[in-house]
Amino acid sequence: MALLEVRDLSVEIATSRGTGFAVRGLNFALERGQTLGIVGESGCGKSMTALALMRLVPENARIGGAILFDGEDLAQADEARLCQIRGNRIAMIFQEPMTSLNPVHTIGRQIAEPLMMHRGLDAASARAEAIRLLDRVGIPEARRRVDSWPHQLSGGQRQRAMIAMALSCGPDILLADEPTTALDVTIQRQILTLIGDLVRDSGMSLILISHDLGVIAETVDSTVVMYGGMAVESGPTARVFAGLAHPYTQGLFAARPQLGQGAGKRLATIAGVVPDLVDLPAGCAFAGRCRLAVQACRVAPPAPQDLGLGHSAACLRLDAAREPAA
Amino acid sequence: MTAVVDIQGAVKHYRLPRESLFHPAPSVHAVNGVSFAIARGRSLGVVGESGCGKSTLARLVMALEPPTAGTVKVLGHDLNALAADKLRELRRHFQMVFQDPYGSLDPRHTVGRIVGEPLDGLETRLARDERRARIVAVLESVGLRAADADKYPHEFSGGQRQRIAIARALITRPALIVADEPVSALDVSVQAQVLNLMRDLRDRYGVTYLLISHDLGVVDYVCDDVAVMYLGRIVEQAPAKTLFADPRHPYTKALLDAVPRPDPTNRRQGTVLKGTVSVETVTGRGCPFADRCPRVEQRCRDAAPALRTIAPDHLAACHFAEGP
Repeated sequence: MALLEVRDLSVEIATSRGTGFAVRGLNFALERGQTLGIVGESGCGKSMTALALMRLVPENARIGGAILFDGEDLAQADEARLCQIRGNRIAMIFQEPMTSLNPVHTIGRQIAEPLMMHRGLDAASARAEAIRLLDRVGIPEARRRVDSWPHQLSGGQRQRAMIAMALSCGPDILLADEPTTALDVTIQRQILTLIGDLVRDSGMSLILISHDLGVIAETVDSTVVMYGGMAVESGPTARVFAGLAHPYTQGLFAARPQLGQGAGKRLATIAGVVPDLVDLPAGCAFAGRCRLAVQACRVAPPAPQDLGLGHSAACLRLDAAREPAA
Repeated sequence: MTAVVDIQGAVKHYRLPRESLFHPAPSVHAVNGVSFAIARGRSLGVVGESGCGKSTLARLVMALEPPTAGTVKVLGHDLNALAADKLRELRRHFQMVFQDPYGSLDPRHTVGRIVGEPLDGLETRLARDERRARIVAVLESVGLRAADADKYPHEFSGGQRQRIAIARALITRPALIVADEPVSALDVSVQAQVLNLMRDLRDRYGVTYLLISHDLGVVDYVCDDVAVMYLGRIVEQAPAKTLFADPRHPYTKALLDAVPRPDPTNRRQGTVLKGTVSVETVTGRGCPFADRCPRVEQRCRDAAPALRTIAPDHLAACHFAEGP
């Protein structure tokens, strides 16, 4: 049985303009020790998916479907049970390390808190453990830095402190929502290398959310490409990146300015903008921007088509998409 | 022909709050002696990580800050020697596009008013219909419609707002547009639209860009030349093609190596650059990159390497730039 199995997950948000469908009919499974990436542009539902897994969605949001974690449905669990799981068995790191650390507590205290809560350590041993964790995530002079305040650390070090906090209880799943987006490329490289090492050493599973195809390609075993709240393509990372079956995935790739390509080729753009989640089209969410869309695309959302070896894409025109663009 | 921009030995220090009664206030050395010239039609990209001084450089070129030392010339005029009214007249020739398309447009003004404002401030008064015609023409040149002039910024998406910001910069028909991270707040698919627009405008109107970005791919796509900055200095400068094919400075190499590539079959095992960029408050005597450099030697700590020509059009500031 998979460690985490998400079945037909939906997140509906009540807004003043009507119901927004942030996530629709999402399915994926994550084995122990496996890494999964979710990639997409802003508004595609990737962050809402992460929040739904932790049941941390905003109050006006409703979760549907099943989130089976070790056989237990988190979508039905009560708040007390969720408190035992959050930060303990599923831990999360966020994009902005400055706003997700509490500015009025030292980082040592923030790392010690889950240790005392979930593992019942006393203050002294929690502090010793916090120092060990800070050292493990590569913060120099951990013994001294444990008493630092968040504002005394650089962006990269804050993200390391966040990772130390997430790791403190030895979680089964680490959820990382754009963990390196606010960081410079050389620091991004350090943090991704650190996350990769930690996942390998501790055997935990990783869900990495990013808008950057490069980050996804270098870090995870399998990939889900999201658009308009749905998975449009998913499968083993190598297969997805070699296949690029869905027109949206192809478009994302072609729109990326690549180093060394220089002034030569013109960037292919995807016309139009991401659809409004309150006013989604009846058919495929991408149909309005797709160069291959036909009438059938606008009728109902396409079901995922199996492409073999775990690779699938939700598109009616996969054959046409396979031919090179005119 | 005079260069569009000519900067010689620009230095910018920012004062920090005093820490002690008995010592002078420390200062941040944001730009530490930068010199370059941009010829008309040869767009320059400046890349570097946060804190390297690239945005300060943009502010110096826009005459939004006076340099602590050095000169900044635009179209042959020393910006800091000009009288205020002359500088104002000159401003129509160099305009700026900012990073945040949400914060840089006044939400209470219509798009027509936002885009037309440089005309009122910087040019002689135009007749009403002539002014309107200019606004419509510039909106159409960035891919918006005439009807958009009466809408407000909140009615537009991020990519469209950045088009409005570009239209505002373009309306006085400037020779130079300074763009500070113009696409970093946009999604990939929208970013491509704006980058293509910037290239079209360059080809159509002969605009020269000074493009500030942390994204090497973006700079490579729009610019002819690239300068890499580290701690307030240019460490390498060359035509884009040369720089990305044959980087000579270890920092440029590390920066290129750190860019994630969407190719899962070929995951890199390269060296990870240690440490982080520190804010410099005292200029040391060695190479500023020495602490993080993979091939540092004693002489790097003793003497800072000068930025020098190592091949035609290729400048680098490293003791080992000529070697393998």
